[in-house]
Amino acid sequence: MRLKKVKAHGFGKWRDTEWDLSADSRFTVFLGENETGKSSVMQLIHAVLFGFVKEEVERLKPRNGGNFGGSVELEMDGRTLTVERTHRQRIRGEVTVKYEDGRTGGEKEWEAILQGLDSATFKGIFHIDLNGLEHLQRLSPGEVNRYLYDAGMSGGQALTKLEKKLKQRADDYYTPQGKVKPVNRLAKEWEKTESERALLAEKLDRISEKRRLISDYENRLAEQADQEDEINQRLRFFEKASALETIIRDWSALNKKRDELARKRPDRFPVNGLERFERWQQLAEEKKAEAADKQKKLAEKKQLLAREENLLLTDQLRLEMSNALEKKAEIMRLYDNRATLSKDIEQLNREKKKLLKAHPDTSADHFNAAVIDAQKLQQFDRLKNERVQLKSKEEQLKMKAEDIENRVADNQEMQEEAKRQEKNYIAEENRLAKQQEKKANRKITWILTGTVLAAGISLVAADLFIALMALAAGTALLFSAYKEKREWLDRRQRTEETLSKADQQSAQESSPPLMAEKAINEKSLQQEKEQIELERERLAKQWSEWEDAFHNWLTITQLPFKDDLGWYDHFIPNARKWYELEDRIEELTEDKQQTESQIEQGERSAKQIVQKAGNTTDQEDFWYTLYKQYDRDEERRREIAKQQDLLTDMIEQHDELEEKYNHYRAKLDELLTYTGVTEENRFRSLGELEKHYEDIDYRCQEQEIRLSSAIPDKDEREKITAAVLAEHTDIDKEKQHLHEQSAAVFTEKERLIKEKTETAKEVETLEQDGTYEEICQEKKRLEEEVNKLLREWAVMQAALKMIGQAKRVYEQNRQPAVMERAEQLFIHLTEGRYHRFFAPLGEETFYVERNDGERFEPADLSRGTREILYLSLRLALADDDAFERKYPIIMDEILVNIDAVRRKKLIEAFSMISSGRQLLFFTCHRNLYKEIKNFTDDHTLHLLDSAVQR
Amino acid sequence: MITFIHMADLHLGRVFQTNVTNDNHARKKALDAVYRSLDNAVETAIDQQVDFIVIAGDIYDEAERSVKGKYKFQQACSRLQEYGIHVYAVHGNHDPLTSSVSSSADLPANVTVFSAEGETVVHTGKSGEKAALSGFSYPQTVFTESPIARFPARSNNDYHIGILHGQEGTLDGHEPYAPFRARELAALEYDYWALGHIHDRQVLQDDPPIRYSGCIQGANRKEQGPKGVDVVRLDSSGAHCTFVQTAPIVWAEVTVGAEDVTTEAELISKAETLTAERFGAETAVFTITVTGETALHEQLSDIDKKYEWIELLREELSGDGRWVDQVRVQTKPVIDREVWRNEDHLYGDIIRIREEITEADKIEIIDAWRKNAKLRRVMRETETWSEKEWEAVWDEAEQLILANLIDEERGL
Repeated sequence: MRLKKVKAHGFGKWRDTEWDLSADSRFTVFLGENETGKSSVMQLIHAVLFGFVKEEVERLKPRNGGNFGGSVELEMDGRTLTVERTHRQRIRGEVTVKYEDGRTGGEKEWEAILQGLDSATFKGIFHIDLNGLEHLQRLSPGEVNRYLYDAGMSGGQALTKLEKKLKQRADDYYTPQGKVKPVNRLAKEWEKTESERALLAEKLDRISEKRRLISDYENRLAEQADQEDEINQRLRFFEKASALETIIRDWSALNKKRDELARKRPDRFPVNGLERFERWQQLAEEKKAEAADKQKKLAEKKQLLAREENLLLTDQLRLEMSNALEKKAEIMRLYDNRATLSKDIEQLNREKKKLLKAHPDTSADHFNAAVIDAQKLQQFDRLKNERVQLKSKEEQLKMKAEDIENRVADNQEMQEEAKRQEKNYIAEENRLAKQQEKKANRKITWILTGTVLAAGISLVAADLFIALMALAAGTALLFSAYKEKREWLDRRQRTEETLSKADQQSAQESSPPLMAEKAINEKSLQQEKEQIELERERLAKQWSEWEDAFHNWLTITQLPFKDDLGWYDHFIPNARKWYELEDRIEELTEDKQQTESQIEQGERSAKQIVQKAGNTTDQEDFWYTLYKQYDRDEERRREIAKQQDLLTDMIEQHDELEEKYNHYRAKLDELLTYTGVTEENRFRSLGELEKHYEDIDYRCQEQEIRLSSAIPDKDEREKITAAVLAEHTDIDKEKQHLHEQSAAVFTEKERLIKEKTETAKEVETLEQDGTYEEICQEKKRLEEEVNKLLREWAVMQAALKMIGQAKRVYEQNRQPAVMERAEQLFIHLTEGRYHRFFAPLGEETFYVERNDGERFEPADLSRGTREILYLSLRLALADDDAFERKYPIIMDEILVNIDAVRRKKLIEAFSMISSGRQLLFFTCHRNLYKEIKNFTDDHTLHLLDSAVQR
Repeated sequence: MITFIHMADLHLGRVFQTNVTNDNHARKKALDAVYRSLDNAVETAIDQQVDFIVIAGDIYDEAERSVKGKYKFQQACSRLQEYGIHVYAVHGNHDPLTSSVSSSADLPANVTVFSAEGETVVHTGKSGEKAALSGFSYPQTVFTESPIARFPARSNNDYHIGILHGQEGTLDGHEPYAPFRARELAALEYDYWALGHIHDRQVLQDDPPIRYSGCIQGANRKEQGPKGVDVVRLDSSGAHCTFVQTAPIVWAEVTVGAEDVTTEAELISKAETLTAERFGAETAVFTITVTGETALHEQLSDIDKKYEWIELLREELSGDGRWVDQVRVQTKPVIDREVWRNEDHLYGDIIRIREEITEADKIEIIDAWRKNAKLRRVMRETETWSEKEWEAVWDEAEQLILANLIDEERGL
């Protein structure tokens, strides 16, 4: 494939630029400094052929918009076509292929033409740049090997990527040493399940043994049951014997005793004789004792009654007491009266005190001393009226005098005010005249100046007529102004005269009419003053007379002197009230004294009676004592009557008791006679004997009934009775022995049942719960799960194998040619210093061998040599036959680290592989271009931007 | 007229070979399935008022350990006894007479277990007709002798029935126990041969019938289709057989052609429709196989998406009493593999390499898992992968590489 034209529509800094590469040169050199767009050209070629790269789109898009993309005209497989790519919607851009005959095609067509060559392969093999070399150097030799395969095979990188991914995936599923990987985990789980299953299987295998065991247990249990029955029977016999032992022994003893007593019994004895005897005897004794007791109480009672009767009051005294008590109510009312009176007197005294308080400047003496009757009260009223009249007269006189004084002062002021007003008016008129005169003077001056100026100017500028006209007008105006001034001058002089006249007038006292009026007024006023003075003297005399009368009244009434007559108005009614209170108090005090003497008399007679009855009258409440004495006597009288009734009853009861005693004695005698004994003691001992016999007999029968009801069977009863009474039997011991036997049997039975149950349950569980099947199912599931995962894993492993195989195919069938070619180049470039270059199969590295036989790995070489080594590899790969199409090789600044000698060699090497192939050099080093130029003329130079101008 | 049920290979206690039992519901159903099948068979016998039931061996799956099976079998026989239905059974290689489970001691009186030497019993049916039954039980697990000598010549009874657990000589796939030829049986001129041992229903001869009734419940993906019992009526006109499905769960395989679908969602929807049509309300455990040349091939083979997608399909199709056991992707790319094979590029290399895969490659992979002791033990207990399985692995690997390479290249 050869590129004939590269054209940028808009790409990075390039716009509508075309580079013609159609000259069939060996070397095509793009020379340009940094930032001149070298990289953009390379990127453009790459983008047109393989599409835009997402990361570069933004950077390379034309800044001002417009068509983004370019085209490459190329010759391929003997035909010329143009590939154009523009960036519209898709990131990769839209491609158009145009053939010479005008046909066109799209993306699919172009992919078909490229025959699987992809961007990665193209970059890996045909685009050699410094970065690519450096990258190669940084890789480990193993990686380099892989890189060679990747770069050398179409889809190789994808294969490596897939290999890595598969390896990782497969390892995620399972590794032989893994623990947590799914397959490993499942296997572990399976093993656990399997061991559980095995354990259970073992149990199941023993199930028939277990069944046999169960039937064995059942037989033994039946034997135990028989044994248990026998023991229980015996135990029941002894249990009965034990339970009835007391009864049997008791019965036996009672039976013996009964026989003994039967021999001693009397022939005849009344039924319940002893009880009856005892009862009657007891009753007889009781009645006897009761009668004696009653007798004693009768005597005591009689004595007591006699004592009480002696204590009663005499009938005379009782009558007196009754009278005194009746009077008591009257005296009580007198007590109340006395208290009421005292309270009233106190109240009156309090009112007196209130009156005294109302007149703090007076004492009780004043009240007591004052003599105020109706007549004196009339006198006081008259004095009061007179005083009011005098006061009023005095006031009138005072007002008249003041009026006269005022009228004198008014007369003087009226004259002075009239003069002052007239003078002010004339002065104002004078000031106005002066002002107008000044104004008229200024007006005349202006008119004069204006007229002269107007006339002058008119004379110079216009003609004489106009000057004359102006002069005439000015004169007319002047005349009118002058007239005005005259008028104002006259007026001023007039007012000034008047003013000076007025001043002269004011120098004199007053005007004659005013003076006359004043004089008349003054005379009248003087007369009035004298009249008033007369009236004043008269009034003073009246006042003196009134005061004498007032002092006289005070002396008569013995009242103190007070300036204010109102005081008397207040005092006089209170003094009259005072007299009334005094009278009332006196009256009440008299009543009280009368009441007290009545009380004293009543009390005295009551106290005498109390003393007569034998009590003291010291205590205040002698009334209570009187009452109590009377009541007590009354009570005593009632009690004596009651006791006498009781005494009669007691005598009757005593007689009745005597009678009953005799009745019981007769009955006792009857009993003795029936038995044929005379002595009571004898009767009693016979009775005791009879009673004992009956008791024993009853108890004996009772025990017999108990026994028969406990053991109805007569034979059994006799056997048990015999066993109990037999001397050598120890029932408790027997029982204990049997109990022990029973317990042993029970324990054994329990044990057998438990074991049987457990075994049966185990068997039942095994038979019914299905655990074993559950575990088997789980085990099977795990196996299936493992199989499923392992199958997936196996697919991945198989794929990995195939990928490995594909690589080997490459190593065997393709790599040798590449390596051989690389070796030749390397030897040539190092001028034979190194003579071998190889990658052993199965090892992940390669070696170079120096001419002295020493071997080196790439890392051991110097940088320059290493770059040559990698360049050799890349060139060999690029030149490989696998790529029949001879794609152009793009070299981007690759010779900068290599010395001049070797550079020359390299250029030679490039020349060698350049037959039929385009070599595109991109550099900023002019030297390199010179070296190429020196080497061959067969080259084309494309200068980029300013590089050339240097 | 005599009617009876012919059943065989109950394998009580056998578990399902699948990982769908991961789901609790599925596990319960799976564990219960064979017992339900047995119950259904018993109910069928009662419903149809048969004279007796013939069981041609392998009642229990594990000689000693099918104790639950034994318990359930006892119950089933007791129920049959209530209805006066007799059970004639032989034991097979899974439950030979040496095992304690096979002991008939605990079984009710209506069960007759044939001896190891072989015997003939006569059953008088409700109609009064008599049927002779000849059979024998396996004395031990491995019994490879010819069974023919243990069967007498046809008796003079109305009918003669042979009960045999064994392998017809021309069939593959099972252990060659009690090997025989169909014609040898035919030669005995019995009226019916009730065979057991082969889990598929098979008819070796139509008239008089020589038949395998198959197992009563499938337990792995080889035992597909409905399973149950044969109800047989013998009368003067010959034998009349009717199959009755008793198995509650069916094993199956559903193939989904992906030729006409373009998206994964479409594919899932198509698969859903197909399974719904196929099973209706039936309970099933099934394998889905996706086939065909399809544009989806690369996506279905993409290493990043493949297994995720398979899980999705599994989830979507499971439910309503159906469980997806396995998903197999056997799609093909829309390319001409033959053309690529002859081309000198990487794809060609891969295709050629796949075709040159050898036994050694297989052993290498197996060795890798044999390195882990635990896994070695697991794999020893599971069935060895068949050659066909391995071929599928290689194919899948090849498709995996090609699909991913194509995908990668497209992505660039």
